[in-house]
Amino acid sequence: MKFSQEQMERYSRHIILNEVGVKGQIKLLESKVLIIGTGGLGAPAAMYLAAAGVGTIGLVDADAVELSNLQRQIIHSTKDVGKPKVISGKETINDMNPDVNVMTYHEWVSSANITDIIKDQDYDFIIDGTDNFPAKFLINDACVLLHKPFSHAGIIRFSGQTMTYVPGQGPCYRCVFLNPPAPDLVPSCKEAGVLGVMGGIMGTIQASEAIKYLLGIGDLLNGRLLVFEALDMEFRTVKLAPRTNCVVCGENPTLKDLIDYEQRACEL
Amino acid sequence: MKIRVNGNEVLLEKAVSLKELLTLQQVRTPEYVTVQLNDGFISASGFEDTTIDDGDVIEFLYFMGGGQGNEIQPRTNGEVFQAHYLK
Repeated sequence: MKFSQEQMERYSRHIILNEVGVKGQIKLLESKVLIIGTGGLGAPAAMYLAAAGVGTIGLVDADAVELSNLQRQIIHSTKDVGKPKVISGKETINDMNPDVNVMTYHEWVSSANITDIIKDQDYDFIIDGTDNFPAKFLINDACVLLHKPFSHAGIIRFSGQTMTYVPGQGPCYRCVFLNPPAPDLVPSCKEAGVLGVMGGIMGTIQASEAIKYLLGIGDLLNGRLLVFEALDMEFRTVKLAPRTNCVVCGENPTLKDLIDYEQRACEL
Repeated sequence: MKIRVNGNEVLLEKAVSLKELLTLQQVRTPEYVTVQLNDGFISASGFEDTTIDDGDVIEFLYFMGGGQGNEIQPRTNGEVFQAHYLK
């Protein structure tokens, strides 16, 4: 692969980094990252990965842009309200960096489609930018079963958390959280609220993890849960214990089929 | 005795069980909290029988979604448990 003059200039601040260089930039251009959820977390992750020159970016989301999304989902603009998020996201990325090939999947992930979506471009790394626990467990299980690395993140109010799963190198999301909270124990669902920047902070950490994984540099958040409290402005990493009896990634896994957990419909 | 809970030092007058600690720390939805004690996870069925010792390091890990709206609400008051990090 040869760089054009334009690419040399576009990626010059990457290329001068010893850890990236021309080789690393070529690696990024040849890499494929799938982003599930094009919202608070997925939007900033997608934008930075696109700017970085990740050659193929897949966007999965069945939603359309709403006005209330724009407080944090910065890949979408006022003119995009009503448009499918994956289309709006693709347009923003295409405007920003023509080197990026954007794949769109205008659907929710489920046990019926997630394997095919991940296999569609044989993605190298997956970013979980979803907002609900059934999807988070589904993504975890699918990635474990397909031996794919992924980044989990969650945000609420002024708090965020993120961890990275690398096959065979530390616990998965299910090791830590076991099962989604039971829907019958959830009394109601309504907007809990989140500071807009939380998605930016945690989503760009997810993008950093993807880039580090693709380049093979640094230490990832595998085996560690990073917890961020914006009000205290404190980051803390919790070293995660191994769970050898994990049903999906443990020594004797029993979970072989993906599960569609019940998602209580939002009454708002 | 001195223990650490989510990175913060906590002083206890006497030895307590993990279940009592969850109450003392006002964790409102203990059934949803992942508890890590020193280097291992403690399952919910073991909360009562686990005694907290001097120097123990405890992490309460909370579910966190995406801030999109489908978040879990507490049963008792306006605070969302995922955000209920301990001081």
